[in-house]
Amino acid sequence: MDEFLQTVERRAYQMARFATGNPEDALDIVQDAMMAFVKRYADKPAEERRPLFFRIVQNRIRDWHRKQNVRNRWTAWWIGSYQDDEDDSDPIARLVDPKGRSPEKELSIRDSGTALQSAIERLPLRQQQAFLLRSFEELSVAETARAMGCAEGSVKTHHSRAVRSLREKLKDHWP
Amino acid sequence: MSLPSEDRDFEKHAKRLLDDSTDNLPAALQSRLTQARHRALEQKSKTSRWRAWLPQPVPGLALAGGLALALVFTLYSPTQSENRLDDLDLLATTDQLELYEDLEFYAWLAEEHPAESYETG
Repeated sequence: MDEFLQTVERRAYQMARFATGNPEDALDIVQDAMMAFVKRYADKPAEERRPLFFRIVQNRIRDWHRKQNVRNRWTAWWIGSYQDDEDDSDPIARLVDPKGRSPEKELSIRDSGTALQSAIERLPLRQQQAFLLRSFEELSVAETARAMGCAEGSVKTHHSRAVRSLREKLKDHWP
Repeated sequence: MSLPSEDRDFEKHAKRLLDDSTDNLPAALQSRLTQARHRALEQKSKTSRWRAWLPQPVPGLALAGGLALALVFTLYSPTQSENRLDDLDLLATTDQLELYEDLEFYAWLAEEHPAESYETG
């Protein structure tokens, strides 16, 4: 089990970091996923471990996004009611970008590795999951479907859209 | 639906870059991942020692009791639409998808190891 977790923990961390944009939250997600995996699936055969482990990671990531959405809704509501009389501009626009990217930082992104990471962070979550599980973790379509909890056809669609979108976004950075 | 060859080339290039960045994670971060792994494995061994002292049918009975209670509350509680909306909201923002994962796990246990389900932990 130790050996298995050692082989997947860094890639799981990368996936969580892309999804959250926050190293601390990503670490929490990976630790939580390892705890849950060891508790529930320690006796599973080796060939079933990767899709199961990444399913837990993806569930934790989706859960993180749900919480963020609720938090953002409440923050937007609070800002809106607090400043109602002073400012009628869109409160959402005033929220801090959770990934912490300032325009200066965006402009400073130059090299292809960083550009790739930035482009992956900006993919819609399902496309990001499909791309990372298929192209980075190299799970099969069936394993990815199991990890994402969706149909194989959806995996193929999300994955091909992700690749097309990334190629389009990176055309100025990549040879 | 297989990817066109230029997409496959792109995919390979992207994987190489991602692998590079993963292999070169900062040492401090790698150390924290190792600690997290050890904590997960340690929790498993503690749980196993604790369960060894339990009478064998207890976890199975506790699960059956819990499910029966959940069923009773679901069928007979006088829920109103407003409360249900609150519950839905609560479910949508709940801490983890523990229940879902547990259900999957228990279903798997029942299918694969009906006689040993109380031993797994």
